[in-house]
Amino acid sequence: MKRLSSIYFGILGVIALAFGIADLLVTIGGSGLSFGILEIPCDAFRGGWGGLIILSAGLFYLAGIKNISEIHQISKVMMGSILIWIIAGLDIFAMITESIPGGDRSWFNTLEGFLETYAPPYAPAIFLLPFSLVVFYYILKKERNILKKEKDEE
Amino acid sequence: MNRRNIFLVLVLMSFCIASFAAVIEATPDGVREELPEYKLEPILIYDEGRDLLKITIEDLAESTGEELWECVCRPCSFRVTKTAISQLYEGEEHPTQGELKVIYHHPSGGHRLSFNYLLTEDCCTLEMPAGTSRKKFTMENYCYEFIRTDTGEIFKTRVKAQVFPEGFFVLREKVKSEMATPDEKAEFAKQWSDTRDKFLVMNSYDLFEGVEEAEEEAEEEAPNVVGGATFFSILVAGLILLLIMMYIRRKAR
Repeated sequence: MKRLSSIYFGILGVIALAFGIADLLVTIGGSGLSFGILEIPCDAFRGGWGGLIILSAGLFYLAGIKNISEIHQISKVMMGSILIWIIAGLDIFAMITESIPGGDRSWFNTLEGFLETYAPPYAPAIFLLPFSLVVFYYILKKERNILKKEKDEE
Repeated sequence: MNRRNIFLVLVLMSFCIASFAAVIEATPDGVREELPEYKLEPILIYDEGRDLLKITIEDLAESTGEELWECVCRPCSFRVTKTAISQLYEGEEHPTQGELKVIYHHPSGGHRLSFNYLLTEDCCTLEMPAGTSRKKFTMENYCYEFIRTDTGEIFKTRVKAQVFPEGFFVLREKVKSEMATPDEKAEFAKQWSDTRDKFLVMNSYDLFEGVEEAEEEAEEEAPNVVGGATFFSILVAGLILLLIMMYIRRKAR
């Protein structure tokens, strides 16, 4: 199980690292990239700063995979996930705020316009988001183990 | 020439310029203010810093200093630019400002400001057709040539004659020369409003020469509602799941 989680977060870390580097390269290049449902932004905030955060998330994951059951190691993995949640959360928040107003002609958007806002392409952080949530499973498992240990000691 | 004379000359010159502007820019009296239901996709174009701009027709009107209902030129120049982009660029490809040039033949401020705003000033050239003037327009004023400078491709088009009501230009000339009767002025205001509305609601292939129906369909891509709805559903389902999990955990404690 420990091995499986290390492999999982190792792969996630490498992908996050690759996405972070891609974000930074695209920002330096100054031209946004879009492949199918994936879009790599090129603006300074989402591409540059966001890329740096995704890159850091990848590094945190990779730093935490060795002996992952140890609390300090799992906290590094947790940290990586939190960084992804920040960026993905910002993207989703931007979508929500963009989807509600109707522009110049009306106060509120049409249903079609509302749903269109959530349509692809998406930034890399959105793709990493569901996979980063797996960390909850390990946190809860760790919590259970600690509680069980405490109970046994009592 | 003393200072007073210079001042007088300047004042007279400014009056002349203003009167020319009034002839070209003025919205005819009695035009319909309410616009028809229309849905026009924005023009997607990169600025010089390679940021992708989404310019709607409302943005264009606002940025060039007029309400949309006050002008025929803004809807016309917006539609012709969008059509030219769809003809010269494929799929996800978008032009960059400074790369797409236009030669137009319409001396109005609406055309000039719109093209300058959309494509930048250096890329817009006005060439007045023979036999036309600021007061006398013909169909020749509604011809456009777009040049994609990176590939050398050219798209030439003109507004179809059917877009303008019969006798529109004759009536316009009369109105602009202050020779029209009140009935003719009212008729012109109606025709003017109808023409403006056509530029907002008609398909590109009905408005401009050289545009095929299938190309128009590709230009106006259907919004991806299914993709958006799927993502939104996942988002809502995830949120509900999270709340349920939190509730169960709290209850378990």
